[in-house]
Amino acid sequence: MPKQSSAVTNDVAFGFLPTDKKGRIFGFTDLILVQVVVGLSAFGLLTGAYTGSMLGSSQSFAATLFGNAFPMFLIAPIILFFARYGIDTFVGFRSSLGYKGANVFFFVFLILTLGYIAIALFMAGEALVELAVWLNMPSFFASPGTGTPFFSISLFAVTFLITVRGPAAIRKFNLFAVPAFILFLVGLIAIIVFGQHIPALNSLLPVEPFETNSRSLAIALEINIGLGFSWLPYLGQYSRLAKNEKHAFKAGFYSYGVIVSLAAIVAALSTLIAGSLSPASWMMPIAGPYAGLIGLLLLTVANVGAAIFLMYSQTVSFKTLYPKKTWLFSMGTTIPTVFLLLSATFYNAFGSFIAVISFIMASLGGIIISDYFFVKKQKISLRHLYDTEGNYTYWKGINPSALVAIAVSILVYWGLYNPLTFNSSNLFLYMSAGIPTYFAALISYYVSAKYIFKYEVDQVSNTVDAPAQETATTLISKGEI
Amino acid sequence: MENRSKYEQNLQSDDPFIRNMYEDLEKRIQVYENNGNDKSEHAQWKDAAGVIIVMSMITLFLAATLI
Repeated sequence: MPKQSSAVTNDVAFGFLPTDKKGRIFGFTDLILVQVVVGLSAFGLLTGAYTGSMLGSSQSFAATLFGNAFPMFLIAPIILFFARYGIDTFVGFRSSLGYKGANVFFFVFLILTLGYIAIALFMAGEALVELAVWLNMPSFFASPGTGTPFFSISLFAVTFLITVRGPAAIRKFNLFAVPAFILFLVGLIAIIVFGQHIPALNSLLPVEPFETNSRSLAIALEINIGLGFSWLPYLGQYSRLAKNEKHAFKAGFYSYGVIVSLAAIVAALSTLIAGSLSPASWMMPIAGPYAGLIGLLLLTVANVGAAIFLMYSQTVSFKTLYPKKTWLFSMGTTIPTVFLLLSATFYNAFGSFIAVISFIMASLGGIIISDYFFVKKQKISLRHLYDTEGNYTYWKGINPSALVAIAVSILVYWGLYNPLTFNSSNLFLYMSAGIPTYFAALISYYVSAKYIFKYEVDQVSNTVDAPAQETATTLISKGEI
Repeated sequence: MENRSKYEQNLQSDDPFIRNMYEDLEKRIQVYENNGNDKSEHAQWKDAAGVIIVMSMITLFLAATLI
């Protein structure tokens, strides 16, 4: 236990502190590799599956590429902020959201992470049900209604037990999980390319299109845009370790915006071939019984690996924010995931879940880009990011301009598209909802910060560095901290 | 009773983990404030050229599939 506790303590300190020169170890290739490994995920597979269920092969390909790359193109500039100051995402967001606002965003992120964990584990549970069918196990295990919740909750317990042991146990598991996902994807690509599927792809029809192609395209784009924007909270994670800003920026765009969309493209093509939205049900029709069996095992291990990564990230982030809480208490914040695994309801609502993520991350992306580049003009005080009674307190710890921007974003997004009912305005068919929401948030935040809630820190941007040059002693003597 | 900020309280915390972390934080902030950031390390517009080209190609590809 002490070994685990010390490793966790190191991870908490590592996440909390701004990276010093010694810690900036990642070049362009290192960043691409680590971010691609982290980014290839169950969500990419499901997003691709939804796309392939609505569109033909060439439109699926284009919608997936554009839908992932364009949101990343819009938010990737914020990587320069994290790379310059060496700070993690939730510390960085304090300058635009306020100290308490950043904490509120953390709790939103925490709830979304529960959803991410549930989706990865439910997909793994589905794969084990397919295995149970193949092994002629009793109907309790082989029936999706009972087997999937049983297996996915059991896998949650396994995930929890591995994660609670700390980074050493996780690294051991990931020695299998990371190659498993890569093998799974490479295997699928090989079967699609070298099998007899490629000539047929152009003639295959999507299984669940909407009434018109333009509506299918708009909704498929929106789901992919959600995946593209969903990387926002992760952008600081590795870019803060970059040797320089330009490598961090380029690697962020290429890895999260372009390369990881490969998983979604493969999934879209697999859905067209197998005629099913569920990755677990692709294996047998595409790969045959024995290769399919291996595929199901790889899919299970890979998803458990993804769930471990998410669970650990969430727990460490929680401890970084509340260092006095115990490791077990912090781990306990992931337990509500079990409620999402009791039935397929949440998993089947993935299209709505990713669209809600699109709304949240598009609005936040607009706010932080507006704040860093246009309002504060890249002048941030590192000291005041950490002094939680400092310049970024705004109104009781929350920046009212961020609230204004979120209110405008709600009107724009939900006016264009309702992800729960799939009702949309005609404009949605031409411009999607996530991208206009990003620009609405960006502009409304700027107008509010400059002309409505005129805080000094937002007005006199050239002097923000002045207090930053003062030492803690000076600030303490002035009563500022 | 002296009115100390949370930051200062953490710098003088009884919990060695918190105290050490904030002492380390204070050192890193001072290094940053004293040395600033080397301007040559900052990204320039030209560094985004490749990204803009790739994004344009992807956009054209999407447009081509719609025509």
